[in-house]
Amino acid sequence: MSEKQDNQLSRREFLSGSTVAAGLAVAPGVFLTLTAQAKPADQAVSSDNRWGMLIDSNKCANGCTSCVSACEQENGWGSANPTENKSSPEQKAQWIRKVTLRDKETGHVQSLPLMCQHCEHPPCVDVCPTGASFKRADGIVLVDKHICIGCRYCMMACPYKARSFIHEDLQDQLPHAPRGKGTVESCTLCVHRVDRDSDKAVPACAEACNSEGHKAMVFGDLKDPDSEISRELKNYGGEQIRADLGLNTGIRYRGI
Amino acid sequence: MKPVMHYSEIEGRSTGYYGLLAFLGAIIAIALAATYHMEHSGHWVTGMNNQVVWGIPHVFAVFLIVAASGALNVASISSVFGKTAYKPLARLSGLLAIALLVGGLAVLVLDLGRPDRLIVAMTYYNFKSIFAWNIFLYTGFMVIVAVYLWMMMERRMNQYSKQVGMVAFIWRLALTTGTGSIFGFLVARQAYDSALLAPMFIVMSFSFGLAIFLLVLMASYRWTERPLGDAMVQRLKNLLGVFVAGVLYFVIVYHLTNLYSTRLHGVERFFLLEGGIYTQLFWFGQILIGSLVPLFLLYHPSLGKSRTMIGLASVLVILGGLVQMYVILIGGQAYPLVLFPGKVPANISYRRPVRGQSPLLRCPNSLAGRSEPPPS
Amino acid sequence: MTRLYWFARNLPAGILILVTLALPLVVQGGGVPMPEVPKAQRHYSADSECVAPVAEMRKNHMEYILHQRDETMHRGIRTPQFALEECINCHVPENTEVRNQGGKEE
Repeated sequence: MSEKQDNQLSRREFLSGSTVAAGLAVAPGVFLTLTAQAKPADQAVSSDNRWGMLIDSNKCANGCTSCVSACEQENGWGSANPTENKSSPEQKAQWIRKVTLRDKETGHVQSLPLMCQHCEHPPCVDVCPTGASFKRADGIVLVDKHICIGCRYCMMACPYKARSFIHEDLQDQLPHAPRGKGTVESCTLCVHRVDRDSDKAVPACAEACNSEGHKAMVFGDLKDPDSEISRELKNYGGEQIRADLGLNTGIRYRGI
Repeated sequence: MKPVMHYSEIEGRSTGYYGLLAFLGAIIAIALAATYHMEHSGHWVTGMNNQVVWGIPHVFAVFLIVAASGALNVASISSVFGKTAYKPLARLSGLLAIALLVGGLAVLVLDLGRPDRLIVAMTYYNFKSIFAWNIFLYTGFMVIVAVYLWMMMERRMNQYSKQVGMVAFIWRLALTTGTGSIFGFLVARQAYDSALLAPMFIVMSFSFGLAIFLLVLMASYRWTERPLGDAMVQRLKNLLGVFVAGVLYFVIVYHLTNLYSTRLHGVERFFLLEGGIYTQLFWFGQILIGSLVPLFLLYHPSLGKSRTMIGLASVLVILGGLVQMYVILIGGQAYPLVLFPGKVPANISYRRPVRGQSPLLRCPNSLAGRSEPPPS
Repeated sequence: MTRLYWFARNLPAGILILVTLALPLVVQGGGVPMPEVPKAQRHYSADSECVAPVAEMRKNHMEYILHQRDETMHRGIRTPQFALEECINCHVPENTEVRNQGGKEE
């Protein structure tokens, strides 16, 4: 048994180690500033953390869709899963999308990625009849696909249109991102990465944005006053989309 | 002297009876085939998408559920408000209410992404969800009305029918409030976020349910060659007129309150002026055919006496009701969410213009599959 | 009413006939072939086929499948041993003809 444990540990260390190495190589400095308490993998997440992201629309490049492609690759949807081929573009999964906006008065054009905002008071969780739509203690909003009955009430309730319904049979899903016909899904904030190594994890979208050099997405722990995201938000502020609803989103924006 | 009432069953051996049974059975068979096709292939065959997530099935389902509560009108009038003239019709009223509710629920359940997980819906509850409350409201309604029917049909239990009728009456109001609240509590959607939807759904239930009841009543009395007094039909049609006017009143108030706040001008412009098929359906389907024409027919001094015209008015109320559900449900979803006030999308990826794109026209499949009448 | 009595009177006979008709199905297993579960290609470790000893897996499979699943999903407890990846590694080996066990059509 102990030998097996060692075996697993080394495997896990190998996995997380490789992630860090890749992350450091592409984006030095970003991970180093994250000083959240690491959570051992066999312990439950706690409300001592709240994961969030700060997205700077001014740094987000018009026409760049690296974050979307990275999410597709990481979670196996869109172009990364060709078995979803019967659905129309409006029916296909869209965990994250790029939105380009034009100000009606000034004509100013800007773009930003839009996905699940991981609200503190998520309407999708309130309306879900079975509790399949839920918020983890660390603030990540997920769909438990084992008990989702596919009623789509959460999609009606979501102010951000962040959720997708799987319209057809899928194959070749990724082990860390199970997806199945007839259930609802959305951005998981790359929860599998966060759980594997909460210390240094960064979602695929932010990782891609960094490696493109835009650095428009900062991921981190909103409850850790020393994290980069907390310091940025404290010093320079950030806005919520539809702040009027009082949902206290975990994804914050700048320049909207 | 105590009036003696005699009930006799419909014999149920005529060709017409079996014909009706076969006709309804065929529709249910088509519906089941369509359901199988959809659940096997996935929902892509229906034409729904990630913006319009509730479609034609929900239009029919919500209509039937709302109408179910309204079909109980006559029983409530007889038991709760003590109008003995309606008593002979109370049983039909209760039976029709259960049938309509079962029909509506069947549609709702069969359209789930995972209908096989119905057991999950019954074992996992999130009590903050209005949907979860409604599961209890709907099943409770069926149980209460079934008990109510028993009280009415079993002579020894007759004495309790008033009390049970009272419970049923309160429960149906709660049921329709719950159904209206499914939409009324969706704060994020400009078209739904209104507490007015709950009372509006109650009056809609009165109107749709009574229209269906009138049709079933006139048809069954005619086919079984039983006499149906003019006084009764006149009372019911006057009542229907009041309810239709009531629905119209709530629709007007709903739109006036929206028009008052600048924030909602966009959604009102969409529904009343520029929404393409939704605007047309609203003005011609809901307002003209579903409200004004029936009101004219019902209150016209001579037309209002003709049973054909009363039947026609009932049919129009039902059609108008379906259109109204369509406009509320699908129009409300088709109107894009306002995320960035003062800004417009500069690209059209994913967020396509919805005008003129009618899910109705794109999903004959679900239309055929979901317009099943209740299995009564 | 008479028809109801007729139905009630004949109900036991009807059930008997149905059971008799269904008997061959039960005996032959309904003609449904046993599912072909592909052999695992990669074992969990050198000394163990599965993530736990076979006897333990046989006894506690449902425990892992349901409770471990909920622990992972809702509380974020992810042990490499009971990760979905390990189930898939063993149960759905790569390079097999059968890609989707559940959706195999006749």
